[in-house]
Amino acid sequence: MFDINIVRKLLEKYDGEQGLSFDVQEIPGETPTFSVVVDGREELPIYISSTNEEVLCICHLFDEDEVKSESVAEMNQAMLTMNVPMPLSSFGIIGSQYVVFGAMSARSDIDELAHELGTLSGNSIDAIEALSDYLK
Amino acid sequence: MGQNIFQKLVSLVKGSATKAGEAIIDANAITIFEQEIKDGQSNLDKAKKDLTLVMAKSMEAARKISSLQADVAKHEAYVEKALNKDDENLAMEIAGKITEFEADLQIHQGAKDQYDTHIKRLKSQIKDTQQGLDKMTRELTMVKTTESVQKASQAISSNYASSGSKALSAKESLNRIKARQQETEDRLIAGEALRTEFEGESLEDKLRANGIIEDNSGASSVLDRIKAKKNKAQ
Repeated sequence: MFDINIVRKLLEKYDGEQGLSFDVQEIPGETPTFSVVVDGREELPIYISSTNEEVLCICHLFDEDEVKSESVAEMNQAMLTMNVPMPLSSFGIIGSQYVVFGAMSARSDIDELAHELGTLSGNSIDAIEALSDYLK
Repeated sequence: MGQNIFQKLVSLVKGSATKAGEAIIDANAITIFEQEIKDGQSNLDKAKKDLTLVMAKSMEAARKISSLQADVAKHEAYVEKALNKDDENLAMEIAGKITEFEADLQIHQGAKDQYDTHIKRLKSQIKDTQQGLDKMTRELTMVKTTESVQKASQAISSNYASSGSKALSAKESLNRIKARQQETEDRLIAGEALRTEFEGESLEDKLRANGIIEDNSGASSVLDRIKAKKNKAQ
């Protein structure tokens, strides 16, 4: 099973081919969760939590009140269209927060997780850039 | 089974009751669901045990039937032999035995048929229960995942709010990240330029020290140059 503390240790000293750095911080609470800053992008931290089945990596993009009110429908359409070709990640909404997230098997190894985190971080930047016309 | 998890989510969205952190399915419902799965599993285990029992009984009946059929065949041969010896009475006695075997055979065959019908019923019941359980387990996984995502995102948003990163809009975040990337890139380029300059200089130094490049910037070379010019002019 996915052990969040082992993953944390592995990520912190991770020295993979992509040369990414991970800064891991634990978030107190009943569900084991931690935040990961990829390559110093502290503005867009990625949150990791896991169930028995899967590991969820979530990156908050923006709050719905940051979206121009007249553009919501069009932006949602754009996001659904981008969802399919976007590598490894998908868009979602949690509460009032638009997120980009990736779900992977709890049996994934550290290289796969590092790859997921790197891709998710890149996707979140690309997504905000692509959607910035819809934002206030 | 009522609404599946997606239907529940959609009706929540329609009712615009998707406040962050609001439980989609309360913990009580999950406990009940888990109990249902547990009950289903124990029913399934019982049905499987029943099945092996009935299958054993059917096999036993089949064994009994084939042994009785063998007995009938054997005794039919005896009848033939008795008739060959013109022992009508003995043949009659053996034939009587055969009817006993056949009566027995009928009883066991009937029992076996019943067992086999029971087996068929149990097998389809097990298949249905298993499918139902699989579906429930899948749904429970989804419900639990939804719940844990909610809990995680609750923990995340409270951390988010306290860390102050929420103060930044997405555009501001993007601009800061891009500015930092640009800075890193600039620094890399500058570092690269500086490195080549240094290395170039040190190479030049070596060449000069070796006399491969003539030193023509010193005072003596300036003097030589002027002298040479002057000599030419004369």
